[in-house]
Amino acid sequence: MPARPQPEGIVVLGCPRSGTTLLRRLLDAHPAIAAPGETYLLTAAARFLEGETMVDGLEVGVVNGLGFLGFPPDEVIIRLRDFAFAFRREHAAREGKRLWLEKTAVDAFHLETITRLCGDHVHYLCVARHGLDVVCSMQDWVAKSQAYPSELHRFIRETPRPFEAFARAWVEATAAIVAFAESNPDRATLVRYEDLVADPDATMARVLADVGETFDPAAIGRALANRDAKGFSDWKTFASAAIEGASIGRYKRHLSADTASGLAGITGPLLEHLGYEVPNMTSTRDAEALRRRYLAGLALQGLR
Amino acid sequence: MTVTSTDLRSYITGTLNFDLPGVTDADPLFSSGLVDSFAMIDLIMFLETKGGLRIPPADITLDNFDTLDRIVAFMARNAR
Repeated sequence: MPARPQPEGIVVLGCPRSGTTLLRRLLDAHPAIAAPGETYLLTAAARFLEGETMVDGLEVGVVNGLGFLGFPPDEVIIRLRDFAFAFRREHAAREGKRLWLEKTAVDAFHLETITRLCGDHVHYLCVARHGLDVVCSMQDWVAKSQAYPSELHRFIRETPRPFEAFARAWVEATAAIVAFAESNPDRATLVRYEDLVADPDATMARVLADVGETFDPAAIGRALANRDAKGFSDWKTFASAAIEGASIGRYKRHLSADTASGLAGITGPLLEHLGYEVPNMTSTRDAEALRRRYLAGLALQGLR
Repeated sequence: MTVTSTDLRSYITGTLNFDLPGVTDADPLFSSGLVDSFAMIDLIMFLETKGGLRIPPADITLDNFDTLDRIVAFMARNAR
């Protein structure tokens, strides 16, 4: 079996709003890792490679299209990889760093294509966070940006209930990256956001060991003091100069018991697999209870 | 069945996950923004179940529900 190439980069994957930007910022402070804002390089490369499947099963897209011209799929992938990686190699060299790190919010929805493109040339950091906290944060994200990212469109089309759509998106993206991390322990590290927040030193030491680097506790302070976003990034992470756990369990304050209960039916098995608390799935959603809740809500609105 | 301040505090902190640090039984909950409308709806449903009664929308007023004291008094008046 050929030896695995030394990874030249790191790819951070996680459902949007899972803490991937915090992890990126912490790693950018390491003297060997260039981790700027979101470049969309791998998102765009994945979209370039992903075709559409016709009714007879034929995939129509660039890979098969170039295949008809005599370019095998592997060659298309190698050329695209070299094209995409070249930008990051050049940037890392300018920063005087050995490794580059790529993190863009929606990459987790292109996991299969991105891992096909990057192969063993990178180490993957797969970030998971409690699904209902992610749902709350996605609501904030969409409200702030006043738009749904295109990767969420199909979930929104499937249900008119945004929380349910976000929960389904979380399950799909997170289940895929967790399965990938668990089946590729030599080239992927699973990181729970809650563990990163609870014990940043231990978590960062583990992550850096997996990418062949050592942990310097002072780097966390440097990372949080650095407010230079260097491109597209999450607006929220720069609001704080410390790693705070205030948003952990936020769903308990922001979602009604019935909503959390309903979403637990979607997220429960994966939450349990990841060792997270699963909300009580006892619901009071019979027709009479729903009517009474609605009337109580109307009465409360009148008190404002 | 009557409801006590302890019952209410237990439900608000334990089930609704709202902290009540330093909040007295006379402090406003809803009008102050300490407890939001989602939680108030859950609280009212809890009171209906625990008290075995139906609370008409007309009774959902600040006079009846804005403090722990007022909620306890309302439930005592309407106890079955």
